[in-house]
Amino acid sequence: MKKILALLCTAALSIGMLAGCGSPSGSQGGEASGNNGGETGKGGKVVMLACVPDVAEEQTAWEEVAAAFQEETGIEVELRFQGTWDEIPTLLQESKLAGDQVDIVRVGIGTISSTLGAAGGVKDLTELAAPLLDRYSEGMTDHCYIGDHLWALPYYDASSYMCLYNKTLFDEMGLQAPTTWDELLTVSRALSEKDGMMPMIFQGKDGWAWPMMYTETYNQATGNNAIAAVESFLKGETSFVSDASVQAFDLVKKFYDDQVLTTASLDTDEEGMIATFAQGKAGMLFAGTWDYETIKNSCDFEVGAFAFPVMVEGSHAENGYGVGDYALAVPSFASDDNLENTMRFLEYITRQENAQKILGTSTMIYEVLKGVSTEPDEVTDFLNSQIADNSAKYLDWIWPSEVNDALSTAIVASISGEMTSQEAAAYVQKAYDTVCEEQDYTYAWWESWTEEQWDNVTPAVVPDLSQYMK
Amino acid sequence: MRKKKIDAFPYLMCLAALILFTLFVVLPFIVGIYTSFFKWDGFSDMKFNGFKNYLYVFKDDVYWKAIRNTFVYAILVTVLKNIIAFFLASILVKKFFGRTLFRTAIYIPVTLSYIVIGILWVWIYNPTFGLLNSLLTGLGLDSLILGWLSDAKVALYSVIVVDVWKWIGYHMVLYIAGLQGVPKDLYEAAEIDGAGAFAKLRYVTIPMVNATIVINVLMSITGAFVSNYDIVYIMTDGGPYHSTEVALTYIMKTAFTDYNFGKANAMSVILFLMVLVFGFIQLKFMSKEDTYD
Amino acid sequence: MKKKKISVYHVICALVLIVMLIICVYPIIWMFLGSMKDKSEFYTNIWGLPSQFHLENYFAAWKNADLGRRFINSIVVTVGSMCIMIPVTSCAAYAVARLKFKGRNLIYMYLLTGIMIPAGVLGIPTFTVAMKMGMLNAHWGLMLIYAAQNIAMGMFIMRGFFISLPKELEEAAMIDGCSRFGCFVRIIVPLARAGVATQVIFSGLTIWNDYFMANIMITRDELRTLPLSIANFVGKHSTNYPELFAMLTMATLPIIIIFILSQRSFIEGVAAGAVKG
Repeated sequence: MKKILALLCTAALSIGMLAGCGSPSGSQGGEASGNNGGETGKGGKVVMLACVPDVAEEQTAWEEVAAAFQEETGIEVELRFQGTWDEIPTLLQESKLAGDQVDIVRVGIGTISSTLGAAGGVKDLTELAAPLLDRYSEGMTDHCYIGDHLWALPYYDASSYMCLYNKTLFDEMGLQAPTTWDELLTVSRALSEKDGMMPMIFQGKDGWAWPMMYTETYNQATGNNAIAAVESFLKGETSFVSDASVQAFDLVKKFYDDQVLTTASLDTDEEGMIATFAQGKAGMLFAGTWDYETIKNSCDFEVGAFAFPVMVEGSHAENGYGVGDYALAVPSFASDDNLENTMRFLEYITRQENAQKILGTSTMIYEVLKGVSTEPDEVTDFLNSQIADNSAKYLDWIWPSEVNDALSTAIVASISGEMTSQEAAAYVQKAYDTVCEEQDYTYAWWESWTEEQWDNVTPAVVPDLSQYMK
Repeated sequence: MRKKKIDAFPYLMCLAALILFTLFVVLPFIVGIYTSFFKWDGFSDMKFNGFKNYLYVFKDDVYWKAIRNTFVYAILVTVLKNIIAFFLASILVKKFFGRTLFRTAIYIPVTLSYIVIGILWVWIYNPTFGLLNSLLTGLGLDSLILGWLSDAKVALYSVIVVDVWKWIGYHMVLYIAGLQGVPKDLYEAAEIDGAGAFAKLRYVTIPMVNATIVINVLMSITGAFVSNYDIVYIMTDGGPYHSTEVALTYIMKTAFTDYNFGKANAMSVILFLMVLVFGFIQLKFMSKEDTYD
Repeated sequence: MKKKKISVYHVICALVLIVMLIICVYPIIWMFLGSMKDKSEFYTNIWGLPSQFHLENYFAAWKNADLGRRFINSIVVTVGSMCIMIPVTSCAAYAVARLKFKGRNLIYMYLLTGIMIPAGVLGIPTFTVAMKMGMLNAHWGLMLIYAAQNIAMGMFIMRGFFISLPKELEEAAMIDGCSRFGCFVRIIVPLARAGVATQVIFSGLTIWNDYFMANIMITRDELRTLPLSIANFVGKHSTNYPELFAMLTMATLPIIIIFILSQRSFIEGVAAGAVKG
């Protein structure tokens, strides 16, 4: 008797478990299809998927602006802040699988150009967002065009690479910010003679950082023609093993050979770089402008900026630069019926006062949207003065991640003497060949798309935004 | 007489575990195996690819370098963790003042988040302001200073040290428990037989804590194969030039940076098969009391 | 009374312990001190004491990441997973260890393969399975998945403990008129406390710290668990380390306290199980 009871218990436990897995699926499914897009007209809802903002104030600002938007229009905005920036593509894919509503996704334009866009994951915004483009400063939406179509609206500070120096220390030692390679060498020598001081620090432990430095030398080695050279390489027209690529490797190595960078940089990560510089243990640093706010706040001395030195005769310095680090795109699976609500929200947040509220929560260096205030200091002015003629789009937003990874590997190997510059270039070329073979990589995916593929990303309706714009 | 009927009781006892395990571990893995025969970027439609992904993996030098590193990692980590943990346990099993303090202290790294461990250790290894180099300089051992995370010959070992440091407390606790269970009279008997310290260890302690050793060794080996992603990722992310790349970091990179899920799954399947062989060999060799009658 | 000799061995032991003490305790002190610094001091005064104790980091971290609710969520999920996992693995491990039946080894080996599956890339397939069963955005869904993922290790640990128990136990109980299940629940399970404790310490910690599954399974803010708070502090462009460390200190302290309180009974419990072997 007891035995039977016991058996029943176990069975019940197991079946209960099964039932537990089974039963709610019906109800959940119903619920999922219920909130799956499509509510137009009065009310309605817009869902934005984004990683958790870098600073808590930004999240608060988003919430306030969304609340004001709802007040004004009656459209509810659900801000789905989830995970970190690199997890967004996966989360987006999962929302698609689960049938969750996502109308706006905040993602890097680099991801769109290499994967999301090529996979038809986001809608073509060329017509949809046309009325909003006037609100952006000159050239600030350029990087979000891929194949002459607009795929996202930048909604974050632009960024570039920068060279900073410890102005207070330079003044003390009677040094000037270097403008040429020779001056950089002189300054470096002077700095290394000081006890416990290295000339320049770089986040060389982070593999992803090396292409930054390479971009600068490559821009010069190609005679300020890097983008065209890379496009031709990615289309398979030319090999990466070219004089320019090899020279660019040599030039990065030169920083080491000439003791501008020391081996310490190879062991230093991003935080370590900031720390080394802020502690006054390095006179100069090469980094991305996204670190500027932290550096400025951490240093108790004055910081100045200088241009990357010209290392190739006949070329000028040209910084890596990009707008669209965080950009707002519309997933292709978002319902067209809800586009009007979505675009109204985009219209609302690109208004100067709202953009100021959200973007102003972190230090802005570039005036992406007209009228958004930027950091009032000399470094910012200097960096802004550089972008017009002295910047080129980040190469890692153009080429696939495999090539970028191979490049990082090759640079570290060439500096350490494991590879010659020639071999390093060949290594990158091999990575490209592999991507082509294994994944049918096509750089210009937009050129070979079928009608059907275009239909998938082209909005069925283009809501008239002008009636809402002030 | 009762033999003819199949006894359902044992099967019912296993049922819940089998169902849960099959649904949420095996089924996803089967989906993973299925994916390994397709070309898939995670967004567009999957395209059937036959065995091509496997072919690509076999041709991929980095993957095999990663596998080699994984084996080195697994062996070193297993040996170091177990020897050190066993040694610490043998001290801390004795009663003395401050025992709980030491036990707790050594357990602390187990509880720490990887993100703290990452920053802390990268900074300890930092050449400019790192503690390790300051210590070596202080001791007058400047010549021993190396590029801890940048020298391809050293980096993997630097990471292994952190892994061992993190998990030592966990294994130590298990060993303490195991050692506590060894009856005192066995040692006394051995002493009467004239056994020295080593003989006691060899003939009394080790056989008595065999079950604990098996658990610890299995945990460290499989840990090194299937769950060392975080620690390698935060310390070096596989660099410099793949010298610290382990199977998991490379698989994750292929999946979530390169969005090449087909190939990543093919790598997973190959890794799984290797661990399977390795794991069962280890169990076969080490488990003596494997059957219960 | 025998007078203790201080030998070289003792000196070595003492040295090793002190070195271990320093390198294991220092990190948590460092984390705590880091959580008290302001953002710039974090970079400029790495190893030293904060010039001023910024307690407000704790309040900010608590508020920004909504830690109160996440603490509760984490406790619910961890305890819930344990409540599923421990009965399930105990039943199965008992059968595999002490009952004779066809396919016993096969079942054991099958469940054991779980520790050899690299789970990293299986995020999307696991998500798909969970989605088909309507388990997204629900704590019970997360609990079932955690329980399932820890079954293999749990089986291995529990089986080891069950095997070490003398086989006369059940016979004696059966003579007293106990059913097989009743005898398992009343006699065997209490003796395997140690196995349960080992599982709690190992799997409990894994589940408490899990970021990966929780991040893809839970999209609603109010259901998120503690480890997901990391994303609130780590940004693409800047990371608020002092607040992050404050959050992590708050998340880590309870585990250490639980360890201090339970280590004795845990270790002795495990030992008690082993004595019978």
